[in-house]
Amino acid sequence: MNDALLFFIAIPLGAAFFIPMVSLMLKWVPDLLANAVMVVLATMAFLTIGQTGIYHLGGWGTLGIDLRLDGLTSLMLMTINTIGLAMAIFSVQYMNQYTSKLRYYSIFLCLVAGLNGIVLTGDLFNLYIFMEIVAISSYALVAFGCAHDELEAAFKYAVLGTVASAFILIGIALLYAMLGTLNMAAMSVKLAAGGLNMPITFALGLFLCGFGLKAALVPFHAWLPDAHPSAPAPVSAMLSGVVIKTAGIYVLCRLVFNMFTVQLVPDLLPILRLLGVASMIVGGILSIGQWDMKRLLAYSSISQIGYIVVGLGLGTTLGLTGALFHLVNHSVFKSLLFLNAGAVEYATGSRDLRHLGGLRRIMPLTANTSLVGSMAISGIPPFNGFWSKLIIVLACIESGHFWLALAAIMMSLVTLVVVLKIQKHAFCEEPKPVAAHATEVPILMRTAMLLLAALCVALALLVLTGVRTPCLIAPAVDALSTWVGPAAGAGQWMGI
Amino acid sequence: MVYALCLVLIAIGLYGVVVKKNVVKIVISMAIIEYGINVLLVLIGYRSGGCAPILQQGMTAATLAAHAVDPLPQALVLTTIMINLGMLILMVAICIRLYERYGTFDITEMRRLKG
Amino acid sequence: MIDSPHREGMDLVAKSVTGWLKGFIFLFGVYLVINSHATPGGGFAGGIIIACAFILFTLAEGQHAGMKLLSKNVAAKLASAGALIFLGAVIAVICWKDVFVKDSLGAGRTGILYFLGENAMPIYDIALALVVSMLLFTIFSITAAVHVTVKDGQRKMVHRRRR
Repeated sequence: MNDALLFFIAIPLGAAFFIPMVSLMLKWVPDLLANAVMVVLATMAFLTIGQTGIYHLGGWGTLGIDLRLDGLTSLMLMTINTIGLAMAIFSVQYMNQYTSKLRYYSIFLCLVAGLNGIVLTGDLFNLYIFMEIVAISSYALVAFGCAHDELEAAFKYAVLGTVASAFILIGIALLYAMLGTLNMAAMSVKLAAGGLNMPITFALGLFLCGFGLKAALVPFHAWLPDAHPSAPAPVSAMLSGVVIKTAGIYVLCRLVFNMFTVQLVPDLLPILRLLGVASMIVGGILSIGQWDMKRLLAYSSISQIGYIVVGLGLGTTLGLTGALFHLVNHSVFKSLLFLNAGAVEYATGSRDLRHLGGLRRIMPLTANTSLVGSMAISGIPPFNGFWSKLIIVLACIESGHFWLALAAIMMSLVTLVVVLKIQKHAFCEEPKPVAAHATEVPILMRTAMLLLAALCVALALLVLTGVRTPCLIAPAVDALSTWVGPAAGAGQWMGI
Repeated sequence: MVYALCLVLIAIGLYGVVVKKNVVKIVISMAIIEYGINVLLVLIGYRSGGCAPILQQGMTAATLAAHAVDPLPQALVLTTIMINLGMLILMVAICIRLYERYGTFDITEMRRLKG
Repeated sequence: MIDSPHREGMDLVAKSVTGWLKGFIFLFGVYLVINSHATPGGGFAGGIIIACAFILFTLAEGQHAGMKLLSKNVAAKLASAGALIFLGAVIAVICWKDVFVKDSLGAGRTGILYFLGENAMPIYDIALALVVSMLLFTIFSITAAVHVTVKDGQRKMVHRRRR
C-alpha cells in the first residue's frame, strides 16, 4: 500500500497530460479515458479504508517529503474521488455545449490530482504546491466558457485566491525560519517542545486568513457567490463540494489539531466558533433573497461550511465526528443540487428562478433527485443531513454552548426555506415560456444524479455504530487525535 | 531589519491590488507581492559570510554544511517562481479575454455580478 | 499583395536583425538546458529563452509565419509530450531504482539526480525545457491569434481578423 500512494497523484496527472494528445482519435476516447481514470481512482480510494501508511519520496527517509495515509486522509480521498467520478460521468454530455472538451478534461484531472496531493502530503511546502495546482486549475475552470460573468468571476476569484496563497506562503516562510523543518510531523514535535512565540503566532494568524479564504469563511467569502455560479455545473459542484473542503477545512484540521495541537493554542477554538457561526448566519440570510439558482446554492454552501467549522471549533470528539460527517454529507448533497441546477440550465437555458416553472412534469428524475437533495440539506430524517446536524447540535449542547445550538437549528430552518424556494419556483408551478421546449436531460447526466442521490440515502447509514467504527468516521476522528510520529509506526498522543 | 523591507515590498503590492482600478495594474501588483515573498524566503536562508551551497573541488560535505547558506529556501523559491509564472500566464490570459468582452481594462465597469 | 513581405509583421530592418539573432538566442537556450544540472532551476530558464526565440520570430514576421513554423496544435501537443516524458521519467526512477539511480555526493545517499551515467544530461531537464517553451509559445499564439465569440448562444473559437 505504501508505494501505491504515489499513484493517486501520478495517474490523474499522466492522464491529464495524455488527453490533449489524442485529439486525432475518435471522439469518445478522451471521455472514456477520463472516466476510466476516475473509476480507477475511486476504487483505489475505497481500498484505503482502515489502512495507514507512509511513503517517503525519493528514498530520503524522514529528511524528505513524505506522503501519509491515515483515517482522515482515507475519508477525504474517498470523498474527492467518488464525487470526481460522478462529475466525470456528468460532464461527458454536459460539456458538449462548450468548445474544447479535451482541455476541460485535462484541467479537471489536474484538479483531482492536486486535491489528492493535498490530502496525502505530510510536508508543508508540498501542501502549498498542491494547493496552488488546485487553485490555478480552478481559476481556469471557472473561466472556461469565456463569457462575461465567467471571466469577471474568475478574475475576482484569482486575485483573492492569490492574495490568500501569498499570506499562506509568508506563514510557511516564518514557520520555517522559526522551526527549521518543513515536515509536519517533525514540526509538531518541535512546537510541542518549544512553545509559541510571536512569529509563530503571527504565522498562525496568516494561516487562518489564508485558509479561511480558501474555505470561504465569512469575512473572506466574497469570491464564492460570484465564482460558483459562473462555472460550468460539474465544476461548480466540484468546487463547492470538494475544493473548499479540501483546500480549506482539511488543511485547517491538520494545522490546528495535528500540528499546533489544541493544548498549545486553546485560544484558536473560540475564533473558529465565531467564524463558523458568522458564516452560518450570514450565508443563510443572504441566500434567501437570491433569484439565481446557483448563486443561492453558493450562499447556502457558505452556511453549511459554517456548520462544519463550528463543529471543529468545539474541540470535543462528538463535535469532530459531527463536523467530519457533515463534511462528507455536504459534499454529496451540494454536488447533487448543483448538478440539478446544471441539468435545468442544460434543458431550459436559464438559471433564473423567476423565469422557470413546472419542470416536475417534464424532467421527473431531475425533480425527484432535487427533492432528495433538498431534504438532505435541510436536515429531514432519514436522510444523511439530519444525522450530521443532529450530532453537531448535540455536541454544542454537550460542551455548554447553547446559543450555538440555537443558531444551528435556526439556520437549518432558513436552509429549509431556501431549498423550498427552489422547489417551488423551478419545479412546482405552471410552466413558463422558457420551459416550453425543455426535455429530460441525457442518460449519463441522469446516471450521475441518481448515483449522488443514492449516496445521500446510503450515507445516512454511517451514523450507526456498527458501520461507523470500521468504515470511516471513527478512524478519521482518531487520526485527528493521534499522529503517526516521525518514527514510522510509533503513535504519539497529541490529544484533544 | 532587512525582513521589514521585504514586508514593505509585500505591502506595496497589496496596496496596488486593493486600490488600483486597471486590471493590468492589479496583475502587476500581484507580481510585486510574489517578488516580495520570494526575497523574504531567500533571505531567511542567509548565513553571514556563507558560501554558495555547491560542492567545489577539495571540499567535504561536512565543511559545506558548516559554511554554506541554506539551500532549502532557494529550492522553495525556484518552485514558487514557477508556480507564479503559471498564475501570471493565467491572469494575463483572463485580462485579454476581459478586454475583448468589456472593451475596457477598468474594473469599475465590470459589474455584472451583483447581490 | 496581402502576402508581400512588407505588409505582414514588422519592417525590413527588424526582420533582418531577428533573422540573424533568432538562431543565437535558440542556441543560448539550448546551452542553458544542457548545462542545467549544475545550476539551480534545471531546464526552466533554458525553456524560457527558447520560447523567447520563437516568440521573437513570430513578432517580427507576423502571425501567419509563426503559425507555419509551429502551429498551436503542434506546440500544445509537444508541451503535453514533454510533461508526459517528465512524469514517466520520475515514475520510472521511483519504480525501478536499481537501473536508473547512481550514487551522488559520494555520501551513500541515493537520489533522483542522474540518468544513465555520470555526466549525462538528466532527461527531465530536457523534458522541462520542452514543456516550458512550448507552453509559453502556445499561450502566446492562442492569446494573440484566437478569440472566443458567442454566436447564437454557441461558443465558438474564431481566428482574429487582421487589422
